[in-house]
Order: sequence, then C-alpha cells, then structure tokens
Amino acid sequence: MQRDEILHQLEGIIKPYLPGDSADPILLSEDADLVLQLGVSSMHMIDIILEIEEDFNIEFSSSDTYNMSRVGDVVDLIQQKTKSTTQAEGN
Amino acid sequence: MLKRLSEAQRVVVTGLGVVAPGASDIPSFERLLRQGRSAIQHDPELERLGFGCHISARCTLSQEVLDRYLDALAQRRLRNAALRFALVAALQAYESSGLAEPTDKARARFGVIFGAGLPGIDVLRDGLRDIDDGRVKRLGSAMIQMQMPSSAAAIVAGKLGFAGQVSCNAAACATGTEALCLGIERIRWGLADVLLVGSCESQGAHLWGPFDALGVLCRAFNHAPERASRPLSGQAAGFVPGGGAGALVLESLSHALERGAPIYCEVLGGAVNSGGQRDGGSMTASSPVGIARCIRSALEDARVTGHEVDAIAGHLTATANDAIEVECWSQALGRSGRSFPRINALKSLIGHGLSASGSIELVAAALQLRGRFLHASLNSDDLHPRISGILHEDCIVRESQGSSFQTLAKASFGFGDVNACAILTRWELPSCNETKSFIN
Repeated sequence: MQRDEILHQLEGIIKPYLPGDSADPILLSEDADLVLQLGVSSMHMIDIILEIEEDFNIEFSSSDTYNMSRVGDVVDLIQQKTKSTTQAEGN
Repeated sequence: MLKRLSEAQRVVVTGLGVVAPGASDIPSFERLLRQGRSAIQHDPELERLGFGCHISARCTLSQEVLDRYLDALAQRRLRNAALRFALVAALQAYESSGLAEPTDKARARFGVIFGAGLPGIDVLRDGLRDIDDGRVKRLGSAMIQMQMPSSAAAIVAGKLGFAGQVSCNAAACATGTEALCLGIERIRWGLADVLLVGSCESQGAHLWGPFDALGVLCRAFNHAPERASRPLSGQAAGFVPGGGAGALVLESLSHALERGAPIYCEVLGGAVNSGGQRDGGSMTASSPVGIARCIRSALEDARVTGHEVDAIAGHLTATANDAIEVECWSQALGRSGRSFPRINALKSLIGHGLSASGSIELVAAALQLRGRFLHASLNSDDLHPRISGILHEDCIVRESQGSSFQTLAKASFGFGDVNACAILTRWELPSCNETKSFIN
C-alpha cells in the first residue's frame, strides 16, 4: 500500500479518539506524536491498535506497540506488515 | 430537644434525570405517572428462552437521546445498557439543575455517589468468550469500564469536573435510596455542597434469569402484561423485571438559594440499616423488625412524627412481602385504617428495576411533590386480606390524582436484609424576609 493511502485510512480510525467534537475531517501529519501532540489517551491507543489490526488485516507484536509514538511510525509498521502479508499470500 | 439544622445542613433536590421503562426523560416520565400508564409488555425473548415469566418492563433509548448525552466514541465503546442508562439520567439531572461546571476552588465540594447492581452483565459473555478463546487482546480498553460498578460515577465526575467523593454504593434493591441517604449525610457533615446521587441497573435475560430460577418473577399473568404487576393485591404473584436509572442532584439549601437553583423538594432526612438476618430476615427477605426500625430512624432523622407523613411511596414489589411491608409502615407510623397515609407503588406501572428502582422511585416522588399529584397504583382493586385488615382501601391511590400533600416517605428494601428510607417534603418558596435570612 502507498503511504498516502495508509495515512488516509488511518485518519478515519484515529479521528473518533481525538479530543473535541469536531465533525471536520482531519489531516494527520506524519510527524505528529499521537499522545503528546494529538492528545490520544493511552487507554484509547489500545483500541486504535485493535482497529488498525482489524482494518488492515495485520497483527502487531508487543514490541511493535512500543514503537508507535508518531503517526509516521504507525504508517511504517503498517507498510511493513501489509507488505509481508501480501508477499506471504503471493507465495 | 433536637437542634434545628442550619441552611448549610438542609438538603434540597435541584436536578432530576431518569431512564425508566416507557420514558427516557423527565417530561415523558411525568406524563407516564400522571396518566398512570403501564409500561409492562410481553417479552418474546424470555418466552423463547423458557423463562416462567414472559413479561418485562424494558427501557429504550432513542438515537436522539443517545446523541444528546453520549458522543460517538462513547456510544461505540460503552455498549452495556446500565452504563448508558446511568450516564443519560445523570447528565439529564445535571442539566436540569442549571449548575455550571464548578470552579477549581469549588470542585472538591462537588461529588457523585452512583450505585449499581450488575452493570456489565449484558456484555460480560462477549468478554469471557474472547478470554476463553485465547483472544484476550481483543477485549480492548472498554471492557473494564463496562464491568466496573463505579464507572458511571467516574465518567460523570470526569465529564463535569467534580473532584469530591466519587464512588458507587451497592445494596441490592435498596441501592438507589441508600445513595440518597449517603448523599444527605455528606452534605450535612459539611463535606460537600453538591452531590449527584442515583443508581442504575441493566436489563435482559442474563440479569433476570436468576430471579426467574428463584421463582420470584410473575408467571401468572403472562397473558395480560398490564395486569401482572400487582403490589398490594390478593393475587400478587411475583415481580415484573425491569431496569433503568434514576439520578438526583442534592444540594445544600444555602448553596441552592445562593445561585437561585430550581428546587424540586427538600430531603428532610433518611436512614439505612439491616435486620441482621434475624427476626424473620434472611438473604432474600427483610426482617420486619429491621424495616420498622429503619422507618422510625428516618422519621427521627427528619424530625417529623408518623402523623406528619401524608404519602408513602412503598417498596411494594407485588410479592408476599407487601403485606409485611404495610404492617411495618403501620407499626412505625402508628397509623392504621382511615388514618393510614395515602400509598402507591410505582412498580405497578414500570415493574421492578432492582438496583435502579430506589432512585427511579425517588425521582417519581420529587415530581409528585413538586407537581402536587399522586400517581396511580394499578391492579390493587383486590386488596390482600392482610393489607385490608391494616388500612382502609381509600388510602390506596387507584387513579392518578391531584393532591396537595406535604410530606412523603419512600423506602426500599434489598436482598441481604438491607433497608433504606428517606423523608421528602414539598418545597415552598420562603417569603422575601425568610429568603434573606436563608442567604445570610
């Protein structure tokens, strides 16, 4: 999957967990820190990870979840995982 | 002689909220009460599952109501009925009180005491299945909140910025009335200015199954749901299961007057106790000695005599215990025959909401006091012979009617032989001079 495609899908998953009630679409910056800058609670990170796994049909390991500070980190991981899933299916 | 309470120690009700069978806000609940309308219906799920009881009183929350009180994320995460009922009722109560979010300085004097029964039972199976299937990770973060009895109090306090006592009480079917009693104590001791109190209960087969197994749900009127809940009746055959939530904002009189709050009624006093599972008390029935003592303690705490009680909102579940309850009221108030107070039973309209029942019935009591009416007690036309030997049948409110009564006693009793009783009185706006002295 392309990075911008992943980012767009990620915006839909993360938006409900952001503080505030704005119905406007959001534009995530890859540099934004999910907890420190976007204000996602650590409790909601657990639900976001579950939703990503479900939507992208991938699975994160515990060590993956420690490396998800910035939006770009999450995109990297999704890209790696979807690539390996596609390769596995191709084999 | 008892010392008169100061304005800071007197407690008034300044906000109400409710999710009850047949009504999910205060205006529709008041209409149901005034019309004396039954919300009990045939329940196809209970019949399909082989319950003896095929009827129930279920609450429904429209999407409009949910959208008003719960944001999209809360609606997606918090799926259990009890927590949704609690949040809607509590936020309605806060809204109707006209309170603004407390300042940082005042925050610690605002609290929540919100009781619960089995709030997460309707979603528990999903969680257990995930665990048993080795998918513990799939539980996500919401399962804890859906199972925690104190979640309603915690979520409401977080939303409103209340930083005083934030906790949950549990006393089975006495929970709601106990929450109110705990609240008045705290305000009287000067530990809080505002306390949002109430209770909630889930609904559905998983909650009601154990009661059906015990044989305490009504099975004799499956063909006639509206006639099934029969408090005080000779044909009473068990209670009709329900659920929901009730919420009341309690406030010290001085705080309420200072901000010009709407006042529904004053809470004169209350008491909680247990019969110790002696003298006829057991895990499933309250001891008559304990009940009568609880009512007497509430009267004493409220500084009123038995003869000053104009109306009784009974616990009255439509079981054999109704006659025992009426005997206890008679004994504790020292009144019988035609001198017995007017009495009604909300469970005849909306069934038994278990841990939610006390707070929903207190909301009904506050509405009746403010609106000068008493709601109908349905299906009481054939009085139980033991009850007709205690009170004159004219004391039973058979149709909803206007009534300029002043003081009402509300009691709730629960499994474990636990009791709670509160005495409420109509609030009259004091004259200008009196108002001045209240504020000063």
